[in-house]
Amino acid sequence: MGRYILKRLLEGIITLWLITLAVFFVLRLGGGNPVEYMLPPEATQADVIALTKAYGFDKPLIHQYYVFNKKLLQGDLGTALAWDKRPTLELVWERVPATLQLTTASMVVAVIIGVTIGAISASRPDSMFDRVGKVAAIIGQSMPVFWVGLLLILIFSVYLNWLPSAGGIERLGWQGIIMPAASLGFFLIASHMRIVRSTMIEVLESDYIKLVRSKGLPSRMVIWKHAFKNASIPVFTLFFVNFAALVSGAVVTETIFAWPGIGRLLVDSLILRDYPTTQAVILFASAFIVFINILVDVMYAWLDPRIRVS
Amino acid sequence: MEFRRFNLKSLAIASATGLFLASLASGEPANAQSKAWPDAYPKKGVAGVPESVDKLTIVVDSWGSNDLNPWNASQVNFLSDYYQLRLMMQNPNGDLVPAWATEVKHTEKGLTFKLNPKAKFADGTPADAEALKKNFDGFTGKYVGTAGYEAPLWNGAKAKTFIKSVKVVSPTEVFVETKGPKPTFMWNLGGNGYHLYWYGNPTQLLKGPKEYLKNPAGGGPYKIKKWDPGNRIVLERRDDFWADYPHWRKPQVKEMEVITVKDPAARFAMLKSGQADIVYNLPWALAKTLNRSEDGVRGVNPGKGREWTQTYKANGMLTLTFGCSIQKREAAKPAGRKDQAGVDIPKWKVSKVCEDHPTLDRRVRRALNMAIDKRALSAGPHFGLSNPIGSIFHAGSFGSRPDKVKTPTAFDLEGAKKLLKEAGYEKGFSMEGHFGQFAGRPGIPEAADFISSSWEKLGVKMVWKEHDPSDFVRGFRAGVFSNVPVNLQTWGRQDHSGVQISWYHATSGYVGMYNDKVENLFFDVTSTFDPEAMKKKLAQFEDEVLGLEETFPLYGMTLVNAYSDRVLSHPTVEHSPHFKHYDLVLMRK
Repeated sequence: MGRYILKRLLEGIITLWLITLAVFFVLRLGGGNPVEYMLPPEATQADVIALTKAYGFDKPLIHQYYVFNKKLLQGDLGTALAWDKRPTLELVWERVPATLQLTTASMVVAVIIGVTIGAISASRPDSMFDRVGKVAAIIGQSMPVFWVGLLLILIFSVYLNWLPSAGGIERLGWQGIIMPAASLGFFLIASHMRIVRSTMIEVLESDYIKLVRSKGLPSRMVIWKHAFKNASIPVFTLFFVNFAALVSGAVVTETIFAWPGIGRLLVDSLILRDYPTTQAVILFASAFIVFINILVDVMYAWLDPRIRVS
Repeated sequence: MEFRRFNLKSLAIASATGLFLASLASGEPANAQSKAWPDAYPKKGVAGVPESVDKLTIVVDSWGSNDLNPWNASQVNFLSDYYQLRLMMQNPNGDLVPAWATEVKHTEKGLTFKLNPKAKFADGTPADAEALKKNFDGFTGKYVGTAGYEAPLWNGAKAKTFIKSVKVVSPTEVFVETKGPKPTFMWNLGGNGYHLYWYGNPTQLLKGPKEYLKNPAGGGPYKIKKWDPGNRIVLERRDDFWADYPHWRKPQVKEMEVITVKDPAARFAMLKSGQADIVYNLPWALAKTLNRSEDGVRGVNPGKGREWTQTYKANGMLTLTFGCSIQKREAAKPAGRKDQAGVDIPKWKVSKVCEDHPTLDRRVRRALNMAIDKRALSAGPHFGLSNPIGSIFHAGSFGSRPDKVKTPTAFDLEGAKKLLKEAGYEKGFSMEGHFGQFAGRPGIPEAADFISSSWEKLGVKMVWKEHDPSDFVRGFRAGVFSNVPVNLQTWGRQDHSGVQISWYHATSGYVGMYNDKVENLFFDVTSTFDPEAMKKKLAQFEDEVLGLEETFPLYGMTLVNAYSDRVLSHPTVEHSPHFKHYDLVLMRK
């Protein structure tokens, strides 16, 4: 098990290093001198030259990448070009709590509603409940997150005046998270519901469930105690994959609801052409995804010895 | 920077030392309603208007850069107006008025600023002449490499080209010696118009950027209570604010919160749901449905509904530029030329597409311009919220001529067809154009579509390529977009046309439209202090640029501010590049 974990960690580190390589060169080769992008139209050529030199962008790319790696090994992801020239890691860490709040709340919404509807649908295949659930799932996965967000704002903020729509928990309190979490969770409900439904149907048709049913156990117990437990492994995987993806993927929701998370930091940094901060956000999000994947793999291996052996 | 001898001679005659303030009157008077400030506006503590209210919430799409430190900011930051110092400022009528400096004398050698002796930073430190000197040192990069300053201010290089030395004359007087005459100094460094420099507390700034963030004590009417970069700032009124000018004094609002919400629909929803009192930059399609304060007194709640608006006019402009003819003209000149300031003029090449392009014929360019009904563009796709223009200078800026600004070239489709026929292009042709969609410069894609359909009537088929705005700017600086037959160029507002003409100058960051005469006029304009002489030269300059028929002004842009009924008034400059004077907002309880 120890060797397996070590192997996965090494693979993760190599993946992350490849990501830094790709991000570093894609940003620079695609855009040229970042100073050209940072400066507004009114800036003079003298401004361009002075800042290019000050930031070291006049040096060869290989040299710049070498410096970046050297700092990275010391735990320094660089200094922001904007954002008061603060350390980029500091900027990212400041935003992580807001993103985790939003992501966790969305996942809770998605799992509770998605799993419940999926399990009930599976227990009554082709019933009215199941059909409505399937249609709802398609709608949920088809509606763009930004549109759902705006719709929620229109209904609950503008028409009903029940909920505030902009700012994080720090500004709005717990009420502020309801709409962002619902709009992000709405999309995830559908995916959780579909996977629970399909795996549950499979499990409910298995011999051991038939045996349990023949013993006369109540349906609720059959579904939640015996069937769901065995159908939950793919749900567990989906949960973690979605959770990891949301950390970097909640950009649209964060923009609509002015949520102060790392998604907005990424977008703002890209707009400002602040390459060090952009790199730091991407690297953080990638590291999070890699870590979650390793965690899931290790837990699988722990649960199923065949994976370790293979 | 060296100037030609005859310029210096004429300068000596024209630049008699005197109060420069008198020469800074706007080129075009703002409308009568905005000139009515402060008389036609509600007043604090009068007729039921409260002396103090607790909170004002403003939602903006952006506030510029996310830097508090005025010595190493990465770009312009519009929030600084509220917590930092400015030497001079504009009042809501657009006039240059005192701020930190109460008086400024301008000569060919430099400027003398007399500072307000009461001026204090938020931590109580006197804002004296020494503090001003240290700020000039700071943003010209003196401290880069020390105290944790690693990079200069984004436009620090420009400041360096202006300033030779700064001398403290007395605790309230500073002389700034300039490198040659700088008649446009006030628009660049003084704080007028498009603010490019702000002044912070040097005691804190000298502790370095990290320490400064812990105590960013500026000298404006507010101090920072909460700073969440990119998202939110909460500003707290300084009850001990030192200034007591009509245009800059202790604000009515105790706590001003500014939030960034990028999505325009989400911003509008915040206004409609009562979460925001002011929404900056409302899309035209939404703004057209609301009551306009311009129907009464601009910036005063018309009292006709739950929301109302006022517009910032001419925050930018759009011009149509044809690049092929300048390429032919300039490429024929020898390499290695320098401008009058000794800066290398780039050598031009003729791009393949321009070798034999229809737009090389002046009649074709004229016809294409005549085929665009600029008033219809404004009334239709722009919902009446853009202003058709006939000037390369912004409405209301020093040196712009009202008759030129307000008179776009006439629409004449039949005349255009006739001209094209004369030029041998009766059946039209196809070409590619370029543009970028800039934040805060609305209506550009709509204008491109409108132009396409207008030119289709001449048989001219357009393919527009939209670029990321930063790519577009970068392309212009590198001359890429001057090497194409046609593009839509947007210029940000400048309050002095003498600043704007640098874009039509051979060695500017941009490669604009110019010829030798324009080039000479550029140096003439920027070396005279006599405002009337300068206006005449600017007029000559503009006539020459327009006479080339390579640049055609299309429209002046407008940004819309929307207000809840809780806001009684927001007096601000009619022609403005960005949000201003939120500290003058008056509200109900």
